[in-house]
Amino acid sequence: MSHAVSPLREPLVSEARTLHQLTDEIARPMERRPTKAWWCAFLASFSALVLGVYCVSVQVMTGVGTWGLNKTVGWAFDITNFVFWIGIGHAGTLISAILFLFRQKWRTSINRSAEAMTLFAVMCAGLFPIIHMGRPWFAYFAAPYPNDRGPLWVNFRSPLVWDMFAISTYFIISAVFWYVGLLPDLATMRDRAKSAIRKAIYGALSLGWNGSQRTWLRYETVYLLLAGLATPLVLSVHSIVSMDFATSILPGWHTTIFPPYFVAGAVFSGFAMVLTLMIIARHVMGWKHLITIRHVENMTKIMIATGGIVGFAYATEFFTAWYSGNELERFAFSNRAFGPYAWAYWIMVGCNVLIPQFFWFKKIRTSVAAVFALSILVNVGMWFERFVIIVTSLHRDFLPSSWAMYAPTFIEVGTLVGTFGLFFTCFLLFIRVLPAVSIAEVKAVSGYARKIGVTTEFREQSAKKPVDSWRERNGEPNGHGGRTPPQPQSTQRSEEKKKGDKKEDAGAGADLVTEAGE
Amino acid sequence: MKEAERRLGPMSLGVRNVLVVLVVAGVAVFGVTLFQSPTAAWSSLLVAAFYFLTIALGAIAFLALTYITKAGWSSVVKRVPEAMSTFLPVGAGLTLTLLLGIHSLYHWSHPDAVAHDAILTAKAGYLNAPFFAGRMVVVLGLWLLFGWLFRRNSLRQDADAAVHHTRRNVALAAGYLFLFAFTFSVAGIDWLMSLEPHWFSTIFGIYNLAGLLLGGFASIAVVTILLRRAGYLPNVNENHLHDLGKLTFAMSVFWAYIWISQYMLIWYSNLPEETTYYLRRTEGGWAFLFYFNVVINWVVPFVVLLPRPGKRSEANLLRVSLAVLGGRFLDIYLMVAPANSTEHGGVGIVDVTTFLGVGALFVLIVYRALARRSLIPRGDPYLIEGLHHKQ
Repeated sequence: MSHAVSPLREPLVSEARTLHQLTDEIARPMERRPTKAWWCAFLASFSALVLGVYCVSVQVMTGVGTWGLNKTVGWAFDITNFVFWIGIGHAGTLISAILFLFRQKWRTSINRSAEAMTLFAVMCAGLFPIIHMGRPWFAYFAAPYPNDRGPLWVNFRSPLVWDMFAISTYFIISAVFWYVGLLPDLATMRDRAKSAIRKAIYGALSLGWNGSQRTWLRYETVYLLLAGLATPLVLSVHSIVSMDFATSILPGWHTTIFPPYFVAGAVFSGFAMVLTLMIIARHVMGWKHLITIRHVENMTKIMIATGGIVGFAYATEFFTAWYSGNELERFAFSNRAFGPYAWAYWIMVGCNVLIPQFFWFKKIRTSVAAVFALSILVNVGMWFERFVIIVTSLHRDFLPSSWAMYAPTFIEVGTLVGTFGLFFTCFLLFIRVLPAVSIAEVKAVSGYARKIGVTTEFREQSAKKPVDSWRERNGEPNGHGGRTPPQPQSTQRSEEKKKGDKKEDAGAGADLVTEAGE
Repeated sequence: MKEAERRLGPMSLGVRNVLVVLVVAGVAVFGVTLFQSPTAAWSSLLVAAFYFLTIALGAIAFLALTYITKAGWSSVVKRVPEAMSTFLPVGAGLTLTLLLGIHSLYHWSHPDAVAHDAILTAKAGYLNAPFFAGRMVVVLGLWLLFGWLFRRNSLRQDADAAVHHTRRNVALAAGYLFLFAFTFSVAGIDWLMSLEPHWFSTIFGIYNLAGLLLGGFASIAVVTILLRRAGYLPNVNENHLHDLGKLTFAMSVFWAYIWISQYMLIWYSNLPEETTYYLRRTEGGWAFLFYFNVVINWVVPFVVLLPRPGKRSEANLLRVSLAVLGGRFLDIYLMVAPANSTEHGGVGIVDVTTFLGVGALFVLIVYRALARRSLIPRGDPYLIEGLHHKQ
């Protein structure tokens, strides 16, 4: 990190905090009992998951006939959900890998949760192709391995097999990247743990992290390498998913723009989901100074860009269908926009092209409620995008005699609800057991752009209101653990030193971090 | 800041004379070829004009991208892309000249040919000469306007060091990038894709955009290194080169990704209306150039720039960037030349002379722009980060 900072830069942690306070604020939610709100959310998610388990059980026992598919529309809800969930995961990898390579330091407070979302979303996505097989107990047939099935091998020319490779690679690399990033924080949790069991679990998971210079050096090298390895995955996974469609000869599916267009759409929907969840998290956990309004703004700006690419792709597809002069291409697109599924098409255009344009206005970008509502609409729109691509291209094929309509059954809707249940159940468990914000990384940027002039302002502010909402949030009138509440920055360091209590931070090598610009 | 005051001196007379001779030779050979084989002449001008226009546009894209991402490191090199953007008016002029050769280049511009072709008749609402010219004027006008505004705001900041110039450019960049994606896509479809008016590919605009960014970043690296070698830009160190190398590397990979997306999907589906494009380019003498295009634009940068020292070594980065710039010519040439000629598969004399002529003009204009202003943007609020850039 360079020490010279432009005067235009703003602090990434918007309130002055000592390193120890940051540890406390992030770790505390895991160390207290779950709140009522958490239980409500968990029970709702878990119920949805149970519904999903029921629906999947019914269709596994009965067969794929429980879905609304017919001879013309052979892919519909199931594959829509698969592509939707794969897409949700992409923001996590973009934030953790690509923004890391681009030195976007603001990623530090959102990358952990976003990566967790990636893993959970890929888990949800992976379910769909497996249950679509009809006999999911043979799912391992999709993997090529020496077998006793005679000459029967997977078809390596099939994009569905590429999917198997792409998604399993994606899941493995994402999981490793996420876990490696967790190591310093796991050590912090180990050092803070009061019960022997907690200490043993976090201790085992932290792989003997000792916070030494050498450990940090190796950690950072591995992290950079993994970021480099994960970067092409952001592009490859959804490109290959898009090839499930684009390698066909079906108008509406076969078009060369699909790979980059799907990637942009995936990042777009992923950021919408990250925003939805992070806006809730910063509110519930009291992390408004970590996930600041500028973080929200930055994410909306990425959504303008990726939403712009998606809109550009819609326009290009539509134009080229006309430009091709091919009547089948032209029909496929006019049927999308004006046929029986026009409502779905216009929901898609409205949510994905028009909605992100609101983010051009700073007033909307900085209104958390507005961003929250718009981010949900974008998720709806991106789900419909996949539905439109899949169903409208299929339902009126080359033979008008086989034209048909598709409507989902209760089982299909229940399965989608179930995956939402799985996703949120996993996420709620995650925030209970692992730091949802990267403690070590946030510490590294806590002094960023905190300049003397700004510090003076902070001093005045904090002198007037030294305690702010921080203590109330934690429900401890006496501060935390007998230590002093946040003080003006000038005195923080010396006071902390006087207390001589730096042990808990040692796990994250915290005191090695100095404030930039000093 | 004495070094910051350094400016580029006037160009040595010898170099200048060589460049002027190249321009004159380019015009002369172009003129002669125009009478012998107008299609070859106009094709060569299309390649050369599009090449250097996209280099200038790539420079503006670099500026817009660094403004919108609030990059700090790039402040010390930003005078280079700003100078490169001053070629835009001349590039636009050369592009407009192509309208004179519309009948030699574009099959769809002959009304009698369109009348006997059902597919071209279906496209006539878009592919017709007046609308084509109108679109050309509009897109060029928009780019000129934005390119001029970016540079003007930046130069004004030298005098008053006011932050509002930066803020204004950030806002401009947001609008520009949005407009540019659409306008450049239209340009790619119009000027290159419609050379083969029956063929279509939705990714074509993005393919050219990837190439534009690759060429733009590589040429910024080349000019920066040449200036640095001559003793200018003393604040640019290997960390800045590392970043330029990373961007060139990334765009090379991005270009290859778009290349394979287009090629693979057309190959896999094997529809005759799409495969014609690749069939023509993989037959006869074109085949070698076709595959070599991938080697020079992707394999070479990928292998050489992947290791960290590869990007931080000045000599290495210069060599690879020059290779990429050669690759850019090949890439554009392969989109243009096979469309109208079937008899040969190589690069003709007029292609080389026109390219060198326009290139010499580019060097003269960019050198003049560099020499006129301080090479250090003294008023840039991000300059401090550029000066102390470490990684």
